[in-house]
Amino acid sequence: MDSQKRDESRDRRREEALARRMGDALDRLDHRGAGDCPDAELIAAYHERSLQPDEIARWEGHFAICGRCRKILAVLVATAEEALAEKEVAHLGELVAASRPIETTRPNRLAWRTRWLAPALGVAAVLAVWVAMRPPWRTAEQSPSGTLIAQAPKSEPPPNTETRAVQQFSKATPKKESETDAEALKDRPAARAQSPNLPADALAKNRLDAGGTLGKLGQNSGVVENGLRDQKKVKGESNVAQAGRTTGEAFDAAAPASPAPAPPALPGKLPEALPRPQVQAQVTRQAPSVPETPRSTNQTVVATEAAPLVSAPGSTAGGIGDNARARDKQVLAAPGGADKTAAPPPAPPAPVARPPEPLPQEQAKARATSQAPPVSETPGSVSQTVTVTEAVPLVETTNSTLGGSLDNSTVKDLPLNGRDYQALLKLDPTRVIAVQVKTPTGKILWRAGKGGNIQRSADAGRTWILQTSPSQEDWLAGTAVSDKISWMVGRNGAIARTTDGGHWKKIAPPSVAADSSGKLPDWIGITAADARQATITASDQRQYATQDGGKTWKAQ
Amino acid sequence: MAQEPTIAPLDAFCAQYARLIEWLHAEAKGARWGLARNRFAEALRRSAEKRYGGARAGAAEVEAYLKSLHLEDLALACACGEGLEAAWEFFIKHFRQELRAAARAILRASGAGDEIRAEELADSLYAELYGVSPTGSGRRKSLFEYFHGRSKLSTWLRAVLAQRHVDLLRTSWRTVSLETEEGEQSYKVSAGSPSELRGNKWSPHPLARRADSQQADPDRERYIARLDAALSAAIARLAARERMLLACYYVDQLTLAEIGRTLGEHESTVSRQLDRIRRELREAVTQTLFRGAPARDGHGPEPGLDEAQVELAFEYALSDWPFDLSRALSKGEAAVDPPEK
Repeated sequence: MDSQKRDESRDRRREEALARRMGDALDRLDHRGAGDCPDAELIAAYHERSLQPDEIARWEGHFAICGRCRKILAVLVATAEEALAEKEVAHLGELVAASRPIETTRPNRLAWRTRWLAPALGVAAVLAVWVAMRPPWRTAEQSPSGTLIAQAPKSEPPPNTETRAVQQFSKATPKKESETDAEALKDRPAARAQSPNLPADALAKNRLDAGGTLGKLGQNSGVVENGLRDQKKVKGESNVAQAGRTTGEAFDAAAPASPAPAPPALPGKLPEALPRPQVQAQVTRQAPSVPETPRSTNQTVVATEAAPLVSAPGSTAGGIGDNARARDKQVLAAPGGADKTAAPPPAPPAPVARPPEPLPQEQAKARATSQAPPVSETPGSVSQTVTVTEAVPLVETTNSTLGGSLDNSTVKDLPLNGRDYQALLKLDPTRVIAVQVKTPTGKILWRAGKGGNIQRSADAGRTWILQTSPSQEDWLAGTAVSDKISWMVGRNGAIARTTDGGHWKKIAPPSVAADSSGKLPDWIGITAADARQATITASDQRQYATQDGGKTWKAQ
Repeated sequence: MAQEPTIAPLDAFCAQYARLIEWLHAEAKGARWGLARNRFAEALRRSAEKRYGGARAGAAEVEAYLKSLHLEDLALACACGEGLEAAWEFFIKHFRQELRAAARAILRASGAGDEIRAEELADSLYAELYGVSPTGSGRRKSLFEYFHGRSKLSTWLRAVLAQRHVDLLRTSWRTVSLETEEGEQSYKVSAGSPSELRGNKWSPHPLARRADSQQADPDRERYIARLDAALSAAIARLAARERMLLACYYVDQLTLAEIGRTLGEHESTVSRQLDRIRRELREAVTQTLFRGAPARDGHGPEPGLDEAQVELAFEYALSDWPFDLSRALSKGEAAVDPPEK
């Protein structure tokens, strides 16, 4: 045993002696002739590992004896640590993702909460979609919804006015009117079908008031109009994205006597897209009420309960005669002219036909809705899509800020209903990156996770630079004391620290923390005051503190 | 496979690889910049010529080489070299920030990082990239002509910047004072194995020990010289990559991580390789000392050393401070301070 130690000691001394002579020995190689240095492109290609094997051998022989080229290579490597371009970051992300297969066997205590939340939030999102989709269905049960109406036979009975949004409308707010028009077009085609005596040219006049482009409203109305067309003609106009516009234009074309501003040129076939005289007649009755200056009044608009799918697209979306549309809706809301007690607008600039007054229930709805103008006026706020989109971000997919530790009692109380909790781990989107820490200045971020992966961002997380990690163990916790000093701890006793923000060094863990088999615990927490003082917490809650940068540890 | 002596002249090259050039031109999207196909073909030929020089290269080999190039970058460089405006707009838009970032990193690595200097360093390249007309000649000589598509354009630009920076530093080294140079040299060698040397406990002071040993053993210098020779021979037998690794570690004093990034390997791999090389060198030197050396270069054969002498040789080498200013100076002049014997 002693002789073995002596031999080892002797070998170390000999290697040390050689190390001291190594510089001179390597310098002597220079005299053999370094040859011409490679140009920048060859150095760049070597750096990218894109040289042929024979070239690599040749130039590595040169690099071994050429300090200038080695220095250039070193500088080139240093520049590679600058912030990466977005495409490079994306590529790096793909590589990281590809090199970190999902692990299914080892539960990660830190990300428990997130793992549990992920499927729950997924279910919540599905529920949100379902709930958001319900009103149209419910409306369809009570009265035809926009989409269903488009498919409904013309002989369908008139819709129930109780479920209908009845509103005062403003000629001064085209976007509101466009909304109501959309509702009308969507919800009441059958009613329109029952409204005789409305000439097509009047309808076209209403359309001519629209001006501007069509948004969702136009599309919705296009759907309705498509439903009213003959199948063949619908095919001719089957582009849904432009259906609203083409519909509006079609109406425009059918209104040669319209007093409204001149519409854009119309395709010749489009006027034929209004084959039903009932539809044309229905709107015509409201046509005389179309004001020349739709913004001259300031009346409130009430969105219908059944109009969540209709977004008020603002002034740019009002593609069809606004006032006329609103009136269309009102007419449709009271088929057969049953509601003749419409309240007159406060100050109509032009003779306007009085819209029918809503029924008591409808008035209540109208009042309630009018108290929430964003619902009826903000684009997207009444959209079902908004509901879904707001729910999804709760699932954090980029980091583990929602992560945390669960104790045993919490684990037992998890509503697993007999399911294997480990199966939930597969759903964890934050498994690759378990730790993200920010320096007190907020300028620098580090994130770390599986396989010893450590990345640093100097631009608030927009781009990340992969750093060389001193350990392949999973990092479970970390802390950033300053822009240059940071600590990471992880599985199997892994501890690392950087004091310059770039180079991580492995710190020896407290040996007393090892169990009888020599296995070190997983560190699940760390706090640090500076590069020397830190306290680490093991998975069994034991704590150790160092005052000398990890050279010695003391149990707490 | 038909072998050709070298890359053919441009006309023959275009005729030989006409279809390939057409395909490569399309792949490179050279039309975006209005780059003519014959100009692109010229760049391809220049690249192939540089790769193979006067060596024989088969058509298939050349074809595979041309296909392996960074074609889009080559087309962009070619178009910029031609001075095409669209190409320059694209280049400025996509590479300016990258150049500045590289310049920042370079300056920061040398401890002189500030934004203005970084911009100056990066922007100093543009004139040469655009090309300057040599006196008396009408044609611009653009730096882009030295790009042959073997690497990404961005990496090439960084390498050019690094090259400029290092050359500038080396030029400035010529003015370093002797004292500084002495210090650097001593540091360079003594810190060749940074961690080990720092933990060294058995050498009180090399110079002091050397002086003591000098008086004790007249064969000291001979042993050291033989050990140096054996070490040089062992290093010369290493693979080029291993020699490069040793140079990075012992001469440039790079960290394992830095060496790993330079060589494209993980630092743990570098560490293992370094351990292995050290062990092999130790064994090779020890065996050489035991064996002795045959006669060469006018010197007679060197007999082998015994175990005690080998141990002594290593001890002398360990205690000997490789750099001795007086000795170094005496090499160029008369022996003011005679070499130790």
